[in-house]
Amino acid sequence: MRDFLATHWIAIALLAAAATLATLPAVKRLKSRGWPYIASAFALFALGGLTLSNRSFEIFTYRFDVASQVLYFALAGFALLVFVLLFRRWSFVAGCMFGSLLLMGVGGLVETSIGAGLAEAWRSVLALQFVQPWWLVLLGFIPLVVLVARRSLSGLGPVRKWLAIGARSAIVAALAMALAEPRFGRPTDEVTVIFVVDRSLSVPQDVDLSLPVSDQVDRRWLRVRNFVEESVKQKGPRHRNDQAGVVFFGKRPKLAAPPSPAIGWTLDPLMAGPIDGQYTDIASAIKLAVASFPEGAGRRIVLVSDGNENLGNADEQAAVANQNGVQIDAVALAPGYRNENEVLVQSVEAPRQTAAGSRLPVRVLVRNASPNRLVDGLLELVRVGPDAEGADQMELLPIDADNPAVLDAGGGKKPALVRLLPGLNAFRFRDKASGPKDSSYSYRSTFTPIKSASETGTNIVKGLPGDRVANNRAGTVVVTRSQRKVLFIDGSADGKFPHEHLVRTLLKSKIDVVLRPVDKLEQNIEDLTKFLADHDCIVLADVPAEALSLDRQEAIRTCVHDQGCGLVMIGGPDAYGPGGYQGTPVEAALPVDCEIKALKAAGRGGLILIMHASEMADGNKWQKEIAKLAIRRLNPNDMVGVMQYGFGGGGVSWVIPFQDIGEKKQKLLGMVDNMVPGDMPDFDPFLRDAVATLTKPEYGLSVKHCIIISDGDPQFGPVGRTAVKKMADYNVTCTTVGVATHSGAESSKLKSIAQGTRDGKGRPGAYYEPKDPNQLPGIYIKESRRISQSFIYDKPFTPALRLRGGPTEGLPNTLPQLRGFVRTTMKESPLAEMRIEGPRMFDQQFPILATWQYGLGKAVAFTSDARTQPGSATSGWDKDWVESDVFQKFWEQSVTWAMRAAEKGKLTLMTDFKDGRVRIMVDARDDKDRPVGGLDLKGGISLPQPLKPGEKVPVITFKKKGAGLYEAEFPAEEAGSYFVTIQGYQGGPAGQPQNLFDYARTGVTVPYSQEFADLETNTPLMKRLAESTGGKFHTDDAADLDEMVKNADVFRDAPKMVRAVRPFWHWLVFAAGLLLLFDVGVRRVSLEWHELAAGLSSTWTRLRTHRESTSAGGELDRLKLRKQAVSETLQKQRAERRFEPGAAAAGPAPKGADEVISDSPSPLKAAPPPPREEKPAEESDMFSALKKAKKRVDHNRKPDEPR
Amino acid sequence: MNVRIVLAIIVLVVVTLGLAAYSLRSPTDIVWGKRGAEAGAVVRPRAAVLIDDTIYLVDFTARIQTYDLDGHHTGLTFTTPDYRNGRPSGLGVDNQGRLMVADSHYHCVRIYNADGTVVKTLDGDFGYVSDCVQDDDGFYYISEFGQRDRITKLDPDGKVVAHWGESGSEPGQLLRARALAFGPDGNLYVADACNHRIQVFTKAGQFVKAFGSPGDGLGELSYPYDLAFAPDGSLYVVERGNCRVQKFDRNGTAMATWGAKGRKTGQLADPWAVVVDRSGRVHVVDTENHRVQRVKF
Repeated sequence: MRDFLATHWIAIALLAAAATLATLPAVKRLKSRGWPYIASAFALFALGGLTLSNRSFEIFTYRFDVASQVLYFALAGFALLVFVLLFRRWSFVAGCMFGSLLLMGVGGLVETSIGAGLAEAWRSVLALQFVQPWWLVLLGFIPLVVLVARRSLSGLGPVRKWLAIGARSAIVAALAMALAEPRFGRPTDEVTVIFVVDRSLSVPQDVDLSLPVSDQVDRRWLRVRNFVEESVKQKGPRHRNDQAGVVFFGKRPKLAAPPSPAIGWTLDPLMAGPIDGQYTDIASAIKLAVASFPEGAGRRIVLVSDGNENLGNADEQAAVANQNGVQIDAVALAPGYRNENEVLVQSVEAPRQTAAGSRLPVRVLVRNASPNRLVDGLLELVRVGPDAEGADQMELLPIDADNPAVLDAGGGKKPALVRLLPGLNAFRFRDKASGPKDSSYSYRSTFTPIKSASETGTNIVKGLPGDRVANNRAGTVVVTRSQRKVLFIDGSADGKFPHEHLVRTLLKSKIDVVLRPVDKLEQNIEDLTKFLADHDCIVLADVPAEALSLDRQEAIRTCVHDQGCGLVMIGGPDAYGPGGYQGTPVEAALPVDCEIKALKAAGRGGLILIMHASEMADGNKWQKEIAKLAIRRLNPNDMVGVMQYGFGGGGVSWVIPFQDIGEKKQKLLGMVDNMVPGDMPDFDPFLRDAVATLTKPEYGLSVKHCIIISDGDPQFGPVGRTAVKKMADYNVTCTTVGVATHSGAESSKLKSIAQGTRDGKGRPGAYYEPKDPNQLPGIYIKESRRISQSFIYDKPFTPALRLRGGPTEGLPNTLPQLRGFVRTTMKESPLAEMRIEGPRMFDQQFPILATWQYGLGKAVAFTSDARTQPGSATSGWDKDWVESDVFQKFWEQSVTWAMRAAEKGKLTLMTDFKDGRVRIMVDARDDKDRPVGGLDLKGGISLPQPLKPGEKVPVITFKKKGAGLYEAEFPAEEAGSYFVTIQGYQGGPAGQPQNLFDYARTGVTVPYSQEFADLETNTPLMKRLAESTGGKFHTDDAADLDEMVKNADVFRDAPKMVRAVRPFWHWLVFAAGLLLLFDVGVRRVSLEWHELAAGLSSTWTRLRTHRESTSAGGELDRLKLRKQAVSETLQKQRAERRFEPGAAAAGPAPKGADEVISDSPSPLKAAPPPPREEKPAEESDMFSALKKAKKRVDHNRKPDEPR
Repeated sequence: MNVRIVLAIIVLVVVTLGLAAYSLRSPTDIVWGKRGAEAGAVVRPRAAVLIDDTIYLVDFTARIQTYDLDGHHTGLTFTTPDYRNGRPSGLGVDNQGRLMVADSHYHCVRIYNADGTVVKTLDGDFGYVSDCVQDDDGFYYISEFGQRDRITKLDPDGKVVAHWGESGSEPGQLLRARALAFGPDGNLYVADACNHRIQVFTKAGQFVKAFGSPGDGLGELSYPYDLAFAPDGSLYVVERGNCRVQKFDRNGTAMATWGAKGRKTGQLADPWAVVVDRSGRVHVVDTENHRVQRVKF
């Protein structure tokens, strides 16, 4: 009923008005002929609205809207009536009928919209707010305006006077209101609900274990899904404008469905793509939901979670939500749940830091969560560390068999069989005396449950149902003290090292160098971080950026910045800009930027990217990223074009037409954002057009290349084969990248395209099949590197020594020649120093050697190379250096300068991990073991995972805790190894730089995500979130959820929200301007209403007599005949009159159309009667009648018409 | 006066008929479809089939949904068992009126009951399955592309009876057969998308004829992606490349085209599929506009 009233209030109001109008004249004895008509019009309109709104019917298979059909019919009737009118026929009944239908049709079509519009307008007016309301005082001038104007405008007559006064008052009002800055803001009773659903792994499943595994479903999820779907479906008509949306979250939140009023939901866990359930971040999910609410409605989050958050702070975020007027209803999943069938390897304890070669006792703590059951299982501890060759080795360590809980020690060959009692169980392991010597290493322990039984040994169950595997393993890292080692990362892979001579030279200088080809570096980031931590300086010798994924580069960067490791980058054709380091983490650590300003260089390249829509997750996002990377890497004089499958025009669509890059890089990057590649049916037209474009002689391209990224699904037909052959003939290369290819056939198709093409040196294009989207950028960098040619300077020159000290200490003033270098740009930082400079170009400076301090570490950039091998044919740019003394001295000094200082053992670190935070305690003692106070401690942390955008490395701030004791804390929410480096500085004399007292490093391991450490759900948090925001608390109990659905509880009224709409003062000023014109117009122009009315009236008359006037010629003939007949009659009568006086007059003329009309009252105001033909009433008047008729004919005839 | 009344009635009839004709204005008489994830809404619908006046649509979210001929959702929404590798791209109807789904990226055809439960799965050594039809004798014909471009004929039990077609542009060769339909002559019509033509085979796989050549003129085709026969025997072909539908007579002679590239009513963006109902009305799946347009021409 309430909905009906809300929808049809205007119809009901009109019916009431009609009733009033119908009864008023009777009551008040008013006489007005119009009122019944108005009353019936209102009633008909209302009736139409009530009966015809949103109704339709079907004839055959066609569906018709009733209201519009009625309207059409009425319009047809009116068309007929107009026709009849022109024929001078009129039917009152038909007019009424069609008029009624017309009104009903219009009512049916627009009644509800008018009602809604008026309601909205009224609400807006009610919600009018003024930012500076005191300006409304100016409204007080309106009476003054009226007073003055009444006198001054009294000559205008009443209507114009009041119009002018009204206009002036309105101008004042509009200006006053404009100054008061009005805004619409209206309270609304609409609610937007966002369901924030926890998809993390900590949510306990509710499965029926008695069913076969294939039939087991998570009933808890089904309940949640049903609750969300049904809540929306059954929200009821009162909430039909209320919107609902869904956010799924685990480690990160994803908006699965943006808020919308739609009701037909199906909640699919795949809606938002994969969710990382290893962590629970309720806070960021709330944040995303708060940001997703539309303006102008009440806001409610329905948080469905177990409350086990292990990232972020939900309480803080709930407070923010509360400030934003967002209420949180909490639905606690599995309240009071406690997983008793759980075993956790809680920690592996080993001394944090060790001197090389010492023997280590290692303890493994395993928790059995059951209060009364025993669990038997296999427990193993392995040590992972580098062997003599530096390759990682795993070694199983023997358990201490003295413990009665060890059922079978396994003899060091296999994992030990142990029995876990309820609660915490500790096991000792012995590491061998011949342990690792001088490298950091880690221990990993795993427990595998075999069976569980009650304490009396009965009720034996195989395995441990409900146990989560993820928390059955843990590990720890042991960092050895610095061994003053240098990690030399070389570019080669085929058994030869291009920098062998340099390595030998460093070894000769007593520097401990570990040579590692870049492709043999640890793949796992955590392992790599540990490996890097073992070294005090990293040398990157002409290694291209794509050989190091961004994650690995980040590991290097943080090793320098946060662990104080040195970094030396040696140039060459694969380093810096040509190596693709622009915008990479390694570039951030270097004192130079790899980008250079536009240079006119010989040889320009052309690159065409061919993009195919990808069905992989985030495929289109990656494609855009890649296209942008490729364009960023190109030089201004290169050319680029991007093609995709676009609809229409046969498919080939240029997102970026082939063009010079010039200064348009930013614009081109913007164009990439508009790319929406379609599903390409075949490669053929793309290959054909690409080769035709790249080989156009007017471009004069020296390098011609195209790249296809595709899943290999499009066809490769005869046209494509011809194009590939043409590519080979014209030195065009094509590289193909197979992304998420489904079968070998697709891979081989893409491969055959690449290998069919040839560059100028006969080399084919490359084929890549990355398994991880993270590899794509590297591929594109490498590929676009083929194009750009202007980074490298390869002529002999004499480098100029600019700054002495550190690496350049003691070098001769005149350095030997170099034969080439890579152009880079010095970083704009006071810390970056150019020590050796290369040849300038147009006053642009290019460093050969640059250094700086980066975080805790130092970095050196040498832009020439070190590839010369004396005694062999291999000669690099540094041939003359190798032959002089400078070579050894320079490199020894550079590497030593960058290298981390030696640890003296004066700082001792202790760490402790608890509740997601790592506590670091530092004990500082001098050589005589006395505590040292007043140290300035700086710390850096290498995180286990690379930082995500927007994240920051936690800052470590130490507080003094006692004599020589310092303490700091940082959050460690993610699982993995954290490496902590602390540098202690002692204040020098005032104004002098501080001296390094000592530094120390350690590793802290968080074994697994807190997600797997929680044994219970965190219902109190859920309760707190609901209470702090004024929301309700519920559980996932089926009855509770059903009750909520039934009552549309989640859509209940929310705290009132105010909608802020854009200010509209400028419209008021505009209106004031128009009113000013109107005011002038009213005063200057006088409209004579009666003249206007008369003009209209005569037009109407002319229209209706139109037929007569146009048939004037016929009328004349008729008149002539008539005249003849009449004169004959007259003569006859004259003759007869003599004998029969008083004869009867001739009968009246037939009635005209007007007479018919005047017989029946018309709803239209009757027009003044048209000039009638005089009736020949008397014979004596016949002549005068004829005269008049003739005169009228003449009068109606246009002057230039022939008579 | 009588003449006037007669004239008036004529005018009434003409105006009423005119308005009625306007309300059924041709050729696009209904445009329906809303983009979204809720039931009834679609995201890039890519294949369609008509079964007993019900349109089945499959979209980019792998949802198969049913609609009446005016585009009202009739309630059924379901997905194929898994769609992480890719979504189905073809729909057909078997001779018992059941839905056949060409689950392209899972290399099989699934036959569904009216309630969306799988009855039968036709699998075998298939590449990407693009369409499936069944003849009156119960034989299935499956088109595939990717690894091989060919058509496979299966007996009612799903055993392979014959294969024909290979990659290429010669008569009888195929480049991405996207859709199949039986013509009034009992032959199998194949939308040979990347050869921009329609090929006709007998049920035994004998090449009969081909028509259409690349281009955008009348009688020319650009990526024909789907085809359907009207009750009068004329053939409607939807062309992705030209964003239009082309009508051919029984002999393969082009009669007319409808549609152009664009987003407005009467325009198409990358149309993938077409069905024709028993009144001869053409329902065009306007993929990138997330809608279906109904026309008669």
